Amino acid sequence: MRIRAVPENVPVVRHAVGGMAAIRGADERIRDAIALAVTEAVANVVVHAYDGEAGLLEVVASVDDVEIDVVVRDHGSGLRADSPGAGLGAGLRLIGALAQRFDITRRDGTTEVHMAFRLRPADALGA
Amino acid sequence: MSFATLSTGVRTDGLMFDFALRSEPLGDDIHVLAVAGEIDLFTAPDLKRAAAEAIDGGARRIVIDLTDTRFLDSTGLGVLIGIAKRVRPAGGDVAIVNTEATTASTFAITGLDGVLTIVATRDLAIEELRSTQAD
Repeated sequence: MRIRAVPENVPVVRHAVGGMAAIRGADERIRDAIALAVTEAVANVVVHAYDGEAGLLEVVASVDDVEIDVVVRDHGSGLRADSPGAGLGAGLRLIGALAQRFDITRRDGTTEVHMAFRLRPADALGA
Repeated sequence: MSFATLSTGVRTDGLMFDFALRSEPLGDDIHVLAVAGEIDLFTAPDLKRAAAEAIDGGARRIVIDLTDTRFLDSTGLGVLIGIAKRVRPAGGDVAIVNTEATTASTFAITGLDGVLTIVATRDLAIEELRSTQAD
């Protein structure tokens, strides 16, 4: 998905990724967690990446029976931990708490937030 | 009891969104803002605006009723904190109504459950606020 980094596209991404998780059987609680973490990453791009200028937001999501992987990418200044406008710098803390794994990479003017979420609780996987 | 529905699912620019806000003054500087739908970067400004109007109109004790809110992100949290920061110096306060599990987790992860009063029903929230006396 490659769309403009504007507030109205935040729910678009949230519902698209949540829908992918739902089709693979994620329950409501897990879908909510995925939706929140993805929203935080996308909102941070919208608020901070392009400093008020127009820019694009790219979201790549892939899913199998176990996990959904989501990459949120921008070509601006990327994710910032000190993001008062996006709410107390809490976005990263939420992503860290909700995703099974996440990392941020920045290279050649591109910032990527990569998040992975289990589709079912660990005990349901026999883990 | 009077109320005004400030926002519904279609904006003047034609964009559809899942958000409705009901603003109810209860008298005695107590005001209820009830939000249905999703609070995020897109819709949070509506909540902020409604709260500012209530505070400008004299409200100091504000109930934010999230009973019908299905989604709340950190932008929404920032608005809630902003409302508390405006009314507390005047002796007022904010009480949040929430029973939704993911939203409760969001408050816990960010530590806001220790900063804001969060209760299960609107009546409890009003009761909490009535026990504080605004200037």
